Amino acid sequence: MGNDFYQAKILPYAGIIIKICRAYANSQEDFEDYYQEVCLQIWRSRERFRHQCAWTTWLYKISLNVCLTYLKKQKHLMKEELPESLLETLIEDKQEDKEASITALYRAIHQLSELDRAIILLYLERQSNQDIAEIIGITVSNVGVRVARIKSKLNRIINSGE
Amino acid sequence: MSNTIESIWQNGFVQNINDLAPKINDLYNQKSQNLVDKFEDMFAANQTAVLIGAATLFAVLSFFGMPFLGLTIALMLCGLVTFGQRQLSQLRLISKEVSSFEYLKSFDLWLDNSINQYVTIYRYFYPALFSVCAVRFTYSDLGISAAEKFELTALIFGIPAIFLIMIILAAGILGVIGGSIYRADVNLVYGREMAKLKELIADMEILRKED
Repeated sequence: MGNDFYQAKILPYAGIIIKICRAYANSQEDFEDYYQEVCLQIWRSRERFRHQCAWTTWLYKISLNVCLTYLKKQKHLMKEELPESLLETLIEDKQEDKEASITALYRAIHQLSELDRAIILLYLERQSNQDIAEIIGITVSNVGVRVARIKSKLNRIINSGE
Repeated sequence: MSNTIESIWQNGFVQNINDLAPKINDLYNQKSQNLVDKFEDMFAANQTAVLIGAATLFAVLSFFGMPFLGLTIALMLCGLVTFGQRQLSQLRLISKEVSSFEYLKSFDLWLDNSINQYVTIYRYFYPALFSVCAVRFTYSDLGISAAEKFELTALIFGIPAIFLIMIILAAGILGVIGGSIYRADVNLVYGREMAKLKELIADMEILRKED
């Protein structure tokens, strides 16, 4: 029964979870742990889904809340670098400029605070300011301001090659 | 950089990204690494351990001819378990499908509240536990022979006055440090995560203020 739920309700939306977990994980092993934890929590919370919002919005909420309160294993705390291998499988093709761009973007996202990571991920996933405000629990007026600041920071980091 | 971050994001991923989901093993029997769930697991495990400890102590102390001491300690420990059960049921009400702020804030409130209440409880629990054991010692063969050896004739409630003063002093010290020991213990294990939680909430609170 559990496997059916995963196949039907999680796997078709795995991209959402993958993209969010990548932004919080520091290594491939770490990423797999995050992914597993998010899936576990979605399954555990499934009966509380009341159709008051879209299934994807609900997935964003659970995924972010789980990533924000995930207890990293001690060995993972030591790894601060985002390894290239973590990104390789996500990239559209192996053209150098695209690879460099998405790698640089993920690297830059990793340098943001955990809250800013959540906000920019939702923004990049084309969530409306209203939805971002609802998912994070902040005011709509502050979403736009913060997104602009984060984008400027990301561009600065990417351009400086930090 | 010629591309905007939006275009990098929209065009950068493989089309069939869902197929890249990691293989998951025995997902539904996995142990959670979530901070809230960890606290819940820790609480539940502690409850069981305390109950087993209470039963064992009662049995052992009864076996050695101290059933009333065993019963008293077991009842005190059961009191702790009852309190813990209440905390646990409140913790289980915290939902992960609310907004991030609500989720983190409700856990933070629960945590602060729970730690403060336990600090208060341990401020009395440790001294009480020590006093019960110490008073029982004064009535034991060893305690009586010690009183005779040192010729402790001044008695209060049938207990050598010097013993009673020492018990009160030690209980007082335990009362002062008992709560702090608990707080330090929690900080040692979860201090880093708790600090991160406070930081996140503080950041979110700034973004909850209307201009």
